[in-house]
Amino acid sequence: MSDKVSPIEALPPASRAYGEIGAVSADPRWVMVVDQERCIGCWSCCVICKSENDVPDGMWWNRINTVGDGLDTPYEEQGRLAMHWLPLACQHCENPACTRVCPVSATYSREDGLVMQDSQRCIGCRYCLVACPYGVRQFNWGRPERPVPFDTGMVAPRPLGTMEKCTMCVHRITDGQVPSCVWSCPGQARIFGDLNDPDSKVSRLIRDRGGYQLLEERGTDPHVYYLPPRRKRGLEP
Amino acid sequence: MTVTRRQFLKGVGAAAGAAAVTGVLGGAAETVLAGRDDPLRSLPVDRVVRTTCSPNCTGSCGQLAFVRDGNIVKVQQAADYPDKSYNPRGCMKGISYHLLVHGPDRIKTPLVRDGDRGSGKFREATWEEELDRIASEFKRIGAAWGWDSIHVFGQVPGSGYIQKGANYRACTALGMTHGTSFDFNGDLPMGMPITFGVQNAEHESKDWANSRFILAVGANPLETRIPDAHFIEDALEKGARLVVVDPTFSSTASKADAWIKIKPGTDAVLGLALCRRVMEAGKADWDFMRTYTDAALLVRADTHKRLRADELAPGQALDPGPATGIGLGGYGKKALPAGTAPEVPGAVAPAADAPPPPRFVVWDTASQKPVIVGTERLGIPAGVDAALEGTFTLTLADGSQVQATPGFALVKAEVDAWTPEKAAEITGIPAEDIVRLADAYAAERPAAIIMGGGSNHWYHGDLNGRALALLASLTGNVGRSGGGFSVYVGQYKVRVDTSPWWNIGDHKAKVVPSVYFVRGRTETMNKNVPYPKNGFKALFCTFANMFIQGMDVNRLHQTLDGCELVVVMDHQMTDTVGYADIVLPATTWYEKTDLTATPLHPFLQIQQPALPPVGQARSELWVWQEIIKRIDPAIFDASFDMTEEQAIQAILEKGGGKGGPTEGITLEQLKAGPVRLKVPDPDVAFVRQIDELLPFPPRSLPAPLAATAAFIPTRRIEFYKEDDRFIELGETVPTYKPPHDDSVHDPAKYPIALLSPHSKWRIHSSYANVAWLNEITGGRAPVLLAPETAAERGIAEGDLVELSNTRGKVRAWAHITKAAAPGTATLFEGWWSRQLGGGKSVNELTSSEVNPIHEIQFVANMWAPSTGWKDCRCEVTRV
Ligand code: SF4
Ligand code: SF4
Repeated sequence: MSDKVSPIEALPPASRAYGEIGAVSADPRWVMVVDQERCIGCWSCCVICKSENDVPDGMWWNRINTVGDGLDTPYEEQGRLAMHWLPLACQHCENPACTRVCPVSATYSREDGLVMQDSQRCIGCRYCLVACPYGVRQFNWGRPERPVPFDTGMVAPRPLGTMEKCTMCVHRITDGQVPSCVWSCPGQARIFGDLNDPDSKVSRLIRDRGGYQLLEERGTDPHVYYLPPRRKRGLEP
Repeated sequence: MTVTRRQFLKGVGAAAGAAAVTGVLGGAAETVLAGRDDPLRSLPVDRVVRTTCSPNCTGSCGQLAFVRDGNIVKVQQAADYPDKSYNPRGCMKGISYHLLVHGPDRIKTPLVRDGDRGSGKFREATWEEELDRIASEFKRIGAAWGWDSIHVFGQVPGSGYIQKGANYRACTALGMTHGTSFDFNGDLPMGMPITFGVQNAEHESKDWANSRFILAVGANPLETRIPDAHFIEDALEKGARLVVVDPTFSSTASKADAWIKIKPGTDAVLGLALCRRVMEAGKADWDFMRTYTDAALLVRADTHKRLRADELAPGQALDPGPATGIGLGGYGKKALPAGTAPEVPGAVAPAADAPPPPRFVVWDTASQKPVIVGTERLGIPAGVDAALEGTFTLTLADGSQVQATPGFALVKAEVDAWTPEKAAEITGIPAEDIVRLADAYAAERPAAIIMGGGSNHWYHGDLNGRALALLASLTGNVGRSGGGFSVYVGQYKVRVDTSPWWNIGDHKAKVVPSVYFVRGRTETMNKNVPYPKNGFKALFCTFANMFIQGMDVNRLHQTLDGCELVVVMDHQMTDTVGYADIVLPATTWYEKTDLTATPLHPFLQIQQPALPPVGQARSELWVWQEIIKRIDPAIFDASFDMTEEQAIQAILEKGGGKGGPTEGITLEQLKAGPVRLKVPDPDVAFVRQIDELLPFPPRSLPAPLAATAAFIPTRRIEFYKEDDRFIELGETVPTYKPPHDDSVHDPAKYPIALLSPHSKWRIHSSYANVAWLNEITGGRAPVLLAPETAAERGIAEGDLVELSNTRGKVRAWAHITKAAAPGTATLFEGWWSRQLGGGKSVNELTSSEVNPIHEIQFVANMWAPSTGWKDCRCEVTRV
């Protein structure tokens, strides 16, 4: 076997610079901002997530819900058609419902607020799957299968009978790189950064654009914020 | 496990500043640098290779291939454009390409038919066997029927100048005919050559962000231009307005300030009615029209031809001398002093015995005299008040008198007929919305018009384009950053001079528009089309799913039946491959070297192999080298004994002179990443014509300038066309004609307009077999029907339905949605037959009718029959 290298280290310089998280505060609080105005519903973030994390057939850590009547199908509102998209993955809650119910602490919160899943510890009881109000947890009911005859992606696959979900690409954050969905979003609709830095782009966007959290009333306090779509102007002058 | 902790630490240090390292790793650093399965570390790879994704989508997105143990384990956007607004550039399809490289449909060995043609039965063969057979069959067919009866078809040269260029070079060397794609695909916006004398010309997508108003007509960039769509959002963030004109509520419509629901095939009516309102509201830019267009040039009432200065009695007209045009109203701000003809890039000095270029005549209302206007530069001589209306009497050289009128008066007479009320009847758009749209569009500058396939893919798509070009010109939006009239369909653009590779010396491939392969020659076919004397006897089809993706595909199969040899080269087991006699396993662009660029962003990029060829796959260049060696080793020695890199070098050198598109660009730079071509920034169509009064057209590579300049003899933006056929068919000025298929399929019997737009999930039929994408879509073809349309036919959601007309039939599953307009059925093109409920593809129904206007001139892919995929009627029934 030839000498292998870290895929981050092997990036061409311009690409590597593109993915850099950049300077953050001494005690970063990672958040992801998803701009629903800029989101075009292309699923690139979901596909790269599947690829990056070797997510098996039939499972998606990240997916795009059409706010409408089915995939890319509008709904009718006061006689007008409307549609937008809601990208959905683990919300990395400050007060997660999942970690509270896990009997073996296989799912737990990190200091920086990310919610992790340890497949070595997971016993497959699926309490977390039921507890999560966002329905983003995925269970390996069978032996993981994929469309090509080898493991893909940048992390090891999870075994049968364990739970898995979005890790915010923690393996990339460790190397100072943004999560893969942020990198790959052609809408430039995903922004990753430090909420503890009040001047960070994420902090500013959440403030200025009315960033909101999903199911705020549940008190889960997600680290994923959404920016709502803009109001349409019609043809009026 | 060979990655050491030190390597990782080094990586982190290089990636981020010291603050970030502490911040990111914190105290955890010590505990996370463990082994292979450390969940906090990326698994190592062998290498990361920068290359370019280039199917037929106009994307040409830089991609990184992450290779581990001989397999591509991830594809991700390179995001390395020096112009950062372009990053990351790439879509969900491009980043799942490794599933095609290594997937179940990959062709890895040569195959030979082992059953009836089309039975899909093959046996494995060797390259030796296949190449020997192709060479000997080509020699036999060439001798019996002529080499031009061997036809090479490939999609699309813009996506790979070298490998696809090898097809052209092989045709040049052997005398085979090459097919077309830009016109065959209906993407050639014929309104462009007719009006501007170019193949097409557009603004780079970055320039959308500079618009104050974006009018998208039959265009759905959110789905079909995914890497570029964010520039529209950038404009909206800065306060621009977006209006989408489309029969169907598309993703782009969902972002729009207003969605204008229009009856299919009536865009020209809307365009004309908008022009009328702009004039009526006093918003027309007459300085622009006089300076740059043919508006003021006189047209003879008797012949309907433009009056030439040399037809007039001597001394009658004022002759201000050559190149005296000036820009009115501040236009032409970078022009040389009046009297100086600008140097026209790409112009070749005319032969000594060539007739002098024509000169035209305008009527000066100040002096009440005719004034001569030449073609060396745009503008109107100083002090001349060129009439745009009125009828004037002039004396011809023979002493007779003739009446003449400014061309624009004829244009205006047509436009004036399109009142909002009359337009409302035909388009289904309320009259007051037409007025409000016109006022909103005219109120903002710059305002961009983006025309898409939904508007262009009609038999009379040229008329849609001409009406919208008129709208953009009337408002002075042409040649202006943030404005313009751009048609984004087709990866057509050859941005560099490829002649050193495609041609051999002065010899060029004979190119036959592929629609003639489908339906044979037409009565009105241009005499310059090199249609093979004995018809088509062999087909070499590469990188194209032609046998289901060509239009009118059942007719195409009749031509195919007459072919004595059908060779298909591909890397996926497509429907087309199933009809081959010989199947050649092709490399993907992750396994070969090529050069590409696209209309949407002016970067030159190479493809370089991330992997050795999978299985026995080979490149086009290798295949032609081997075939030619067997046919005539002398040709190989003279013209084919070169590598891809040498071909790239030759192209770079050709365009590398001062002011050339590749000036200063080296292969080494291209290997490291994308390099912006030497074009203005932002790259705006016609900007030099507008600023410097350079005559139209700019050159359309790789054709010589003279070839396309002949499209517009006035060398101005032409709204009045004088060729006989325009006169005969009543299309001298922008006008409207009903969809052509209404005359083929009686709307009473075939009440449904069948639309087959591009899907966001595929690039035509490429990517239809990507497992991940099919998990999202369900992997089977829906037909969008409006609730009324479905109810009238007793069709429920999910029912299998049949779409049929006299050309063919296809089955798919009903999806009932108000997004679809009543009276339409939308079956996105590109599904493979196995994803349908029956039939080859939607193209069993689509039309291959040729518009004779498109045959007046012939420059392949530039003025040639552009086909009308959306111009198609059918009936829908529940199965
Ligand atoms: S990649 Fe970006 S634009 Fe596409 S679906 Fe995801 S968030 Fe939306
Ligand atoms: S398929 Fe087209 S748009 Fe998507 S990444 Fe490839 S080149 Fe870009």
